[in-house]
Order: sequence, then structure tokens, then C-alpha cells
Amino acid sequence: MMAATEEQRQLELNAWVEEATAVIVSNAEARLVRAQLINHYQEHRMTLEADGWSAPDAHAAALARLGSPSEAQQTWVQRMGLAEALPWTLGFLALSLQLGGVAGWRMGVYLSWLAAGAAVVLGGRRLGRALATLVTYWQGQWSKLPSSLILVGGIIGVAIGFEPVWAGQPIWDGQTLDVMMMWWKLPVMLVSLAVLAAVTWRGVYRARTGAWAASGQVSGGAALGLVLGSAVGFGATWEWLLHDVVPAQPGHVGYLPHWPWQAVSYTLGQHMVPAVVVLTIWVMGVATIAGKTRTRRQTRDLAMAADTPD
Amino acid sequence: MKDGPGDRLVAIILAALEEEPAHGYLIARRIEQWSRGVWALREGSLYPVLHDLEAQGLLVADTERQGQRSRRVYRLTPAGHARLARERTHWQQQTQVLSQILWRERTTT
Repeated sequence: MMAATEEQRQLELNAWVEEATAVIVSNAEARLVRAQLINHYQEHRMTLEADGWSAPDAHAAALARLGSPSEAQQTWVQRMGLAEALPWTLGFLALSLQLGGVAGWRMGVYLSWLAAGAAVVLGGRRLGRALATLVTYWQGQWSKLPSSLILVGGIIGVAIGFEPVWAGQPIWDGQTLDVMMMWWKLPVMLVSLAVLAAVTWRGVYRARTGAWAASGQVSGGAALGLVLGSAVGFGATWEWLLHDVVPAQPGHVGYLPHWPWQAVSYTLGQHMVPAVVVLTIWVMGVATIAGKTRTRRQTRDLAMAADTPD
Repeated sequence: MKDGPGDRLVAIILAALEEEPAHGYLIARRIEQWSRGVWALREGSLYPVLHDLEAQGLLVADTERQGQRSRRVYRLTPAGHARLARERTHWQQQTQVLSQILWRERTTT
């Protein structure tokens, strides 16, 4: 009876620790924090029991002192750097646009269902965590934004959403966006790459455990992108089956007859999506190299800590 | 700003590590003891802050083995000491201003 009760306490502790660390992206860091939290609980409980507390009371008090797991999760998210969330976000954008847009609706359907299968095989439990991390991070960021920025962002979002409608129209100096993108592309991309490299390097180089240092994180990000890309593929399937989709062509805007604003234009497909893909690869590359450089020494510590049974 | 000057928990943790290194549990006990039990932390939220301060280079951690267990013992870096000095200045100013407001001498109208 006693053993069963103690087992129940351990299960309760494990559930607490699992939930509290669910949003940590890096496996190595999550393992380390779990060990720290369990040590913390055990030290507190042993101290209380040495003072004459019964095991159930000491357990309850030690667990209560840790607070709620959701509070701990929130604290992690508040402290999470953009460098940790950016690759996930870009990965999602790149792959979902890639599957749904560049490859065309029909190819997007085939690719996305293949991707969904691969994601199921590769993903497992980490996908849920990664998704929770991504959603919670952006929820937190959203709540920090000033309302004026949200308003401007919304206007830009609507403008981009209606992009197929105005993409063929002259927007500045008699030129259409398609033409302007031809000479905007290179300088904009160079500046973007330089800024992203600097920001990412700074963020990840300072990160103790380098969430993106481990190759597993990169594959996790790719798997997440595949899953979300498959969601777009589902949409593509839906549209393919129900609508006669007009594909995008140079100089013309592809559209869905009933929802023209949701079409993927030639401009978006041919210019922006490759740019996003390049940016994603760039960010992941810089983050990985920076993380590996910074964490070479720390990896030894983590390996030692990982020996702790948790 | 996620932890600019004036983040109370950051200042408290840095102060708890000023004189000698400590692991998470000991940091929590020090804070509880020094505040005479008034500030009982939600201790599960202590570790995200510790990891963040470590990532910022304000703390470093050494892994210490104790029997079967290993634990992370944190100590301040020079940058951590400098940050603590800034926090002290900041909070001194804040408490002075607060005192002036709360205990101001009322003028007769």
C-alpha cells in the first residue's frame, strides 16, 4: 500500500515536471531542467521529512512550493528569445507556401500528403511540444504588441491577402509589383540576410544550450513544417476537388473562381516563396553554427547532468 | 523588455548569488530566509529565469555531483556583478520616489 502511494506521488511529480517543461524546445535543456526540478522537489521534501513531516504532507508542500506548471511554462515562454521561435515560424511559412504555392495545387496535394506521412513517422511527441511552443510564443508576443502595430499589421495583412487583385495594377511610377520586384529583390534580400544573420548569431551565440545547436532540433523544425505544410495541402485538396483552379502564369494572376483573393499569384509564387526558403535555410544555418560554436564546452556539462536519473 | 532594469526577480536572484554560489533550491531558501518568508517564490518559475540569466552571461553554472545526483551550482560573472550594481541603483531610486509619494508631508490648502 505504501509503495503504491509513493509511486502515485512520483507519478504526480513526473506529470508536473513534464507539463512545466513542455514548451522547452531543446531536448537537452528540457532534460536538464527536469533533473533540476526533481532535485529541487526532493531536497525540499527531505528537509521537511527530517523536520518530522509525514511523507504525504511533505510531498504536498514541496509540490505546492513549486507553483503551478502553467506558471512555469509561462515564465519559459516570456524568457524565450526570438532566435528560438524564428526558425520554427520561418520553417512553417516556407514549407507551407512551398507545398501549397510554388509546386502548384496539384503537386502540392501529392507532396503534402507524402509530407504528412513523413511527419507522422518523424514527429512523435516532440511535434506537440514544438507546436505548443510556437503557439504560446506568438500568443505572448501578440499580447506585448501595441495596438497601433496590430492595426498596421492587420492592414498589411489584408493588403497582402488581396495581393492577387492589385498585383497586376501599376502601384508606383507606372510599374506593377511584378516588375518592381525584379530590381527590389536583390538589395532587399541582401539586407534581410545580413540583419537576420546578425540577430540570429547574437541570439543563439549567447544561448547556453543552443536550442538549434542540436541537429535533432533542425529535423524537428523540418518535421513541424511538414505537418503544417500538410494542412495547406489539405486545403489544396479541398480546393482542387471543389473548384476549377486557374494556375498562376507570368503576367497573369492565378485565382480560385469563387475566392479570388486566396489565389497564389505569380509574384508570390515565383519571388517571395523562394526568398522565404532561402531565408529559412540561412537562419537555420547561422543558428546551427553559432549554437555549436558557443555550446561546445557546455555540451560536456549537459552530458554529465543527463546522467542523472530522471 | 523581458528583463530590463527593474525586473524584481532578476535583482533578487543576483543578490542571492552575490556572496557565494548556490544551486536552485538554496537560492530559493536564501530568498525566503532574507525576506523573512514574505517572498515565497513559485519555485518552479525560478529555473527559467536562471537559465535566461545564464544565457545572457550574467551567471555561469558548474555541474556538481552529490552521490547519485548532479546539480547545477550558479555563480555571478563580472557582468552579473555589474548588472546587480545597476539594479541596486535602480531600486534605490524607485524606493526613494515611492517613499516621497507615500509619506509626503501634506500641505494645508
